Amino acid sequence: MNGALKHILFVTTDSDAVAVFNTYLNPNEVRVSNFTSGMGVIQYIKQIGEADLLILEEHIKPLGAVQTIHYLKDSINYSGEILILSDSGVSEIQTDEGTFEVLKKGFDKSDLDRVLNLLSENKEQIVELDSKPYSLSYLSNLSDGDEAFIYESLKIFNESVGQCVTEIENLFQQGNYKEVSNLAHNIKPSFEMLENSLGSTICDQLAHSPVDSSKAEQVELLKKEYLKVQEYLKQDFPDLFKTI
Amino acid sequence: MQKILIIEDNPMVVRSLEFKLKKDGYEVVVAEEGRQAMKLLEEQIFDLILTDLMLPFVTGTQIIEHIKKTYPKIPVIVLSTSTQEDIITDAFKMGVDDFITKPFSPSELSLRVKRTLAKQ
Repeated sequence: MNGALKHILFVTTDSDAVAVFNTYLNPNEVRVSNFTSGMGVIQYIKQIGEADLLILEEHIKPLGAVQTIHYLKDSINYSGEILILSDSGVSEIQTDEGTFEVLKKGFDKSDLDRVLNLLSENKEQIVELDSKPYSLSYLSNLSDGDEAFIYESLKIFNESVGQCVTEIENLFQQGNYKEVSNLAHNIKPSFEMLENSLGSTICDQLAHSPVDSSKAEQVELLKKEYLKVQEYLKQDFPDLFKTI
Repeated sequence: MQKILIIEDNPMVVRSLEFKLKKDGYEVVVAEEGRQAMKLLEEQIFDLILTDLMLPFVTGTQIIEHIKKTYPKIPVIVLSTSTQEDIITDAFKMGVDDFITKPFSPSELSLRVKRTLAKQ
């Protein structure tokens, strides 16, 4: 595969599929951003731009794959590669916007090799991506590069999200799952503003699917992702962490 | 100068809204929760309200209900996440004027705020 990091937008509510994807694909070669709704990925593409490959679960709610493709093609002239994740048993799905290949649900290594081959063929849309777990492009775009604003926002992220993640951990241990969901909902936009899709996806899952003791792994993952962002921020903005 | 009340409890979203709206020439007042918003509404006159739907103490729905009953002329824009379609639909049924998804697109925010204020 070409040396540049490739980017896949993966829209599914199937956490097993996400786990398999992340297990098989080498993070040094492929970066996967997970979304749990078509609207989420539309918003991402509108703000950040296309990726090398978009994979859409066929019957995801509320916008299914076909409706999401229609919106992307019709409203924002999306031109990237698209696969549809489906358990319908067909190899292709026809839409008004064209015919799209199917990645069958319950995919295995050989199916993912096909995905990787597709990425290798798709050389025109290679985007060099920063492997950092955060990006300043949203904040920079919002403020026309105002450094004071960006710095202040990072400080707010570090303090407020850190506090919420600790609270989420404590509340989860106490079994207060409703409040875990509320806090996850609250901090989701903070991860999105730093373009950290993993943090956003975990928050989304904690906020909008039933939370019980089985979600311990997600709570732990959220903490890890926050600490990862914090670690990079420490390196890039050491003054953020200076105490007076 | 037109005055906007932001009711939102995510400090990063608040700071961004405040920054962009001030840059666009509006006066901005922030309430981090519903009770504070209700107090501010009693004390000051606002041209527009931007409100989250999931707030501490008083829910966004209760806030909208209160605003539409007590201050029916103030337009309301809902700040939502992309996964709240049902709640947004309910908010529209209650008479909100528009909605913006978080994190917002800066140009979309400017446009929707300007358009909503122009309708007054």
